[in-house]
Amino acid sequence: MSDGIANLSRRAVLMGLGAGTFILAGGLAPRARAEEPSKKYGGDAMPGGVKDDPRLFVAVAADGAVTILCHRAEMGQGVRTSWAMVIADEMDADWAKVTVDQALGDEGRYGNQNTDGSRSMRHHFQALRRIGAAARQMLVQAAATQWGVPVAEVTAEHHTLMHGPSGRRLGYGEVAAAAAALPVPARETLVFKDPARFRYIGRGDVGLVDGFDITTGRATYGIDVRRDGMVYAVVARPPVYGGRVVHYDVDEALKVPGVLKVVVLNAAPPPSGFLPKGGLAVVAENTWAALQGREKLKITWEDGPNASYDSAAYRAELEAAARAPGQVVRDTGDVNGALKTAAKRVTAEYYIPHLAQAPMEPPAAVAQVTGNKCEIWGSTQAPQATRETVAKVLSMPTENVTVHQTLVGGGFGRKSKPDYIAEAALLSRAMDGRPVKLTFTRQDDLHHGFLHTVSVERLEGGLDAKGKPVAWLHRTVAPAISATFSAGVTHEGASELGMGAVNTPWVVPNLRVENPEAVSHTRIGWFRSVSNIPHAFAVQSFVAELAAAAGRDPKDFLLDLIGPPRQINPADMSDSWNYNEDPVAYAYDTGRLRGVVERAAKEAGWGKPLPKGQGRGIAAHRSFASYAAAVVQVTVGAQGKLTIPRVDIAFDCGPVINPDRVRAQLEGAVTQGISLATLGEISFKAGQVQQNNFDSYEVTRIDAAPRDIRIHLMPAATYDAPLGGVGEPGVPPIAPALLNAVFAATGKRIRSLPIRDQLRT
Amino acid sequence: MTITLTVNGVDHAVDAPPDTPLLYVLRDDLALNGAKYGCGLGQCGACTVHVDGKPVFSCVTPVAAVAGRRVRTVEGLGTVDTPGILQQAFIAEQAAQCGYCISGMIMRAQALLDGVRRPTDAQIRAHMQPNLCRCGTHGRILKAVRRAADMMGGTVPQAVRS
Amino acid sequence: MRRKHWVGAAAACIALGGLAALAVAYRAPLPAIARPDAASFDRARVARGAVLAAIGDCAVCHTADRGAAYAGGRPLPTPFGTLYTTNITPDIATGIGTWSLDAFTRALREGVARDGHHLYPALPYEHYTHVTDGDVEALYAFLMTRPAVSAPPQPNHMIFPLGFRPLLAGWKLLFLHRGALPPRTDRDAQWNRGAYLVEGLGHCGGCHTPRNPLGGEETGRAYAGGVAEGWVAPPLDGSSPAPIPWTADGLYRYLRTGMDGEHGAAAGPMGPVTHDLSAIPEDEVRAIAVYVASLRMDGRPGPGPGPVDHADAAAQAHPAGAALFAGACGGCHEAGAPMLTGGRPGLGLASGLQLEEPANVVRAILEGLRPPVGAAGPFMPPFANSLTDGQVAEVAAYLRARYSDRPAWTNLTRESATARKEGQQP
Repeated sequence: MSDGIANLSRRAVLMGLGAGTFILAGGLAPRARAEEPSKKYGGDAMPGGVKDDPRLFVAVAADGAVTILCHRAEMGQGVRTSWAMVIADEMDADWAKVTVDQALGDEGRYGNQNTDGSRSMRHHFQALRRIGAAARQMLVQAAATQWGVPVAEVTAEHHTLMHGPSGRRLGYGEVAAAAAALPVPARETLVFKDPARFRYIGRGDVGLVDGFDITTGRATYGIDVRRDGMVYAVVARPPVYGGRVVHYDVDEALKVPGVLKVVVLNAAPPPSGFLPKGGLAVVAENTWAALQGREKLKITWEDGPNASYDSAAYRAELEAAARAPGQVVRDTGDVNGALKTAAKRVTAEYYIPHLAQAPMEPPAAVAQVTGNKCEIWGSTQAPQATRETVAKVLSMPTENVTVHQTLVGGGFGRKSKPDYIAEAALLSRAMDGRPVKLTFTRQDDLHHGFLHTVSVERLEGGLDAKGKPVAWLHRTVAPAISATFSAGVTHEGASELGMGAVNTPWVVPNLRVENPEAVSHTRIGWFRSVSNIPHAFAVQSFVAELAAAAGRDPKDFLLDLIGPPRQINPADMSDSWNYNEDPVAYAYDTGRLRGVVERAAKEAGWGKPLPKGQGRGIAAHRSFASYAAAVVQVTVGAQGKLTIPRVDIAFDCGPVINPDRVRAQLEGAVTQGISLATLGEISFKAGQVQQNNFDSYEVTRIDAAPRDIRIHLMPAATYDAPLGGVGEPGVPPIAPALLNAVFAATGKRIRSLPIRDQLRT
Repeated sequence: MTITLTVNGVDHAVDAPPDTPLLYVLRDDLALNGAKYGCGLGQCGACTVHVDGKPVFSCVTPVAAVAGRRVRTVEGLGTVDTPGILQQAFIAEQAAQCGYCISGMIMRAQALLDGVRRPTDAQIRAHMQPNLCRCGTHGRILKAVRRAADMMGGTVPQAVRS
Repeated sequence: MRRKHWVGAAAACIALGGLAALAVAYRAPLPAIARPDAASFDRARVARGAVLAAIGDCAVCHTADRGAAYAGGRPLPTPFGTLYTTNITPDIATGIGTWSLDAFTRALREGVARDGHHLYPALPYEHYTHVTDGDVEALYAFLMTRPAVSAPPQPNHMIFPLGFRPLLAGWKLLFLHRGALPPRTDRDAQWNRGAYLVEGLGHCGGCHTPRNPLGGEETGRAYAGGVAEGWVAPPLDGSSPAPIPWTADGLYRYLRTGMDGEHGAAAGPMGPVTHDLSAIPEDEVRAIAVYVASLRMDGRPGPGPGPVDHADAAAQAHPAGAALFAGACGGCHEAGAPMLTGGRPGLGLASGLQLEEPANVVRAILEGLRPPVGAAGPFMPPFANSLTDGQVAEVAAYLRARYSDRPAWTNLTRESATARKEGQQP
């Protein structure tokens, strides 16, 4: 227990509610201690905010069955389970009697639903507790009223209400109707459970609510939706971003049996944001006919100004930009002077290509337009963006668009962008209101994505005669996400720079970060952990390069660079963003970063000798308000064959709500990190993506996945501590730890991702 | 063209061009969603089903090729009340993240366990290689297959649906 | 089929070998040495040995599926039975840890193990005999510095009485011609370098030259095409059926990456060969390509017939094959398909469809293709489980009719059944 929260909890006793019961007063969450009380942070700062009215989320039936509404997208995090688990635990419900329903997309009603930024638990855990506690108190009140006894004499335990003095009992279902008619208790009267009594939170043995449906083939993803009278569509989109159709011949396509119609979709000029790219859609009675029909289309495209986008040439442009000074985004001391006088100077350039999220379920949705209304069933991470985009393309009010969220077969950021759903909506209208299922093929997915940016990161460091770092210059050059939404953007935004470029806590007296210009030529979007990928890759590789130059152990050097445990206000590192979290409650805590480094190193047996051809590498990174450190062990065999026998990852995200799912997210993050470091690359030639499928956009498979992934969770001591994110922070340290391990094993420093066959020669 | 298919022991007369890949017939015509579209070109295994007991990529298996042969999908492995042993093992290991690849994984693994009672980890990895998982649950998939093999050998009590 | 007369000819080999064995079979054992310290080998020589080992495809045969490198155990099906490759790591008990350079040299050049027993010509010593002393020494240095792996040899399953090794002495009298190959003064250094590598360590003729009933290469028909593990190793000489003739540049791309845009992807046993060649110095691969290209140029210079595509006629003749092709193959192989970008050729350019025998086409359909160098794959998925033998035959017949002007293949169903059976072997 720490500071004010513990003192507050003592009030529970004062109120006579019995020892071990805790109270949380509204407005006294950590954010209340922020410097600017008027400024909102976290979930409260999101559009739509956070809602905690139990009547929106919990229903108890007369038979005691509890239905909990989840408004987050389930895409593999297990959020539908964790979400309901928190409410169920706080309301003392029996998990076996709980089912989970998916909320419609309705930001006004449910609050912010966009599932991104590793925010589901971070922003909602306390609200979910309030929902559960309020529901429980309403049930308790209803029982007290029915029995005519003081409410303080009634307790709730595992779906049963008990009157201590008389021993009377009632099931939740028996008072459900009466409870529902009661007013919702005020926030400051809510009493949280003693965490020692948690049955589910922090326990990690709750079965996934969708586990059965998934393993038996009964789960419904966006691509699985079926509506009466539904037709199927695929779209031929301009191969170059900003291109458009100039001439077409659909005769052959219409001859394919089953093809019903070819529809022209207008292109939105760049920057097109979430709007569809336009093109020709083939609508048919089944998927195969639609695909065959599309093959028969004859289209002449006008490619527009991005037709010259070429990854090799663009890389050279980025490198040139990185070699000249750029916009200064953080500056401490005198970097140029320190570099000049340094005893040793190290320079390195890192390259990280475009990546595609490539979720196993490609973008897919069903839309049905009826009059001035539209109903959507789709795989989406962003129901509100979906409503707004569909409303925009159909010119109807946002509230006329209903979004049914299905399970999402992998998102990783791709399904935060509703372009494909807007296409389905346009096509349903073109088909006079028939439901239309729009599916991306894998090639569509790779060619028409919102890609991870491409970047060159150039670092220069200076060491003094004793090998101590005295200067750090980082130039980060990458097309920005906001260039996809606004014209003329050529610099990374505060959020991108705050993902590990400016906010390095190094104990280096002279430190500067610059951001030269980069012009975007394709749609850039979020990819799991976003700009943390290139920044952490470069920064953590460079730390190891400096350590090598200084002749130091990389782990010890890293710890020295982090320095002593301290709380840094991110603003003091020129990070004005801090994942939109309170800079005090969510200060950059170097003690926690040290903690994960030390734990990962210890668990991985850092320093123990390895045979020739093997090596360990370490990297650590704070992102999404969580701290992660990874030690990757590699073996580099004949012809540079890389195998990864073991990865240790230490993780501090504050309170751990569902340990099994936190572990699963980290296991996945490790493998996705390995995948992007070893194989991942989307490249362009003549404005077109060169990869078409999983043969050329390769993904780590089970034979190459790490043999042994060991997760070391470092949960906070109290559930009142601020929560960090979980879905994304595991990714950033993996690539640098891997390449540091390759260096340890071979002496070869790889600075350009992916590794592919760079180890062969 | 009408083609007769036997899927999970039930005969279906399907009206589809003979070149239609089995995947689209299963999903569009027979409303069986277990087999998934992931790549359409036999690169990811999400569409894996069995034909005459052997795993195939249904996205590149023309429906004409399976006329008169036995097709089995993930829906045919168990019943609603008692899922198949592999399915139980996947549930017990919480092997799913997004879950989209899981049907294909289970069908691929079932083919292995149909032929090899006690596969080694190396055998499991080699056998499962054609199937892609993007979430990175490979370790748990491996454990689930191992657990299923154990369950079939009787060393782990068979889980019941919780 | 070739396979048949190979097997039938075993008897002749026995008789001949029996006589010869008496005279020359005995070879003395060479003394065992203490395993040399890995650090005692010159690093540059080891590095050179690594390149030579790649050119010699040592790891291809001497590594089992997912086994330790060079530890042997890979089954080699031959017309005379199944051999298991041996452990050539420097393990003392089960490998070559006690072999001196002399013993190693004798094995490579004469096919005799350190203890004096004769080695089967699956070890292509009739080619390795041309390798220079310096290169043998580098190979030795490379192998002796590999990690020692304990992997006891597996028993071979040879047709009786070929398990009796002294018979091999007779085979050697006929087919082992020792000594260096004289350089050709009318060719340049690059060509001569290529000749040295191809005829020696590369042992390309081991597969691409037809063999006589005794299993010896028909020297008079060098590079006229042979067989390897059930696949046809296409002719490299003037009789190459490639619709666009091979050039040195094309061969270089193919050998280096496993793919050439004017011909296709390396399939079957050729796949691992290209994997090896992808990691060695470029000059060596160029030299190999120049020499191999000259084999064709010397035989039949000039342009080839180019690709054909009789799509409509083939569909009329083989409607079932056409439908199967459309559903199973068209997604990658039809014009404009996504898999045809990035320098991948259409089927009209594939040599396999032009060969006299359908073995490669049938095997590619059944087994698929392994991914090219540096890729994770799968690449072309196997269709053995999707298609019956009859359906494989339909597809193959359709492909032959569509993409070649050559006579139709016969007995395709049986070929598929045979290939399927062989594909399931150890």
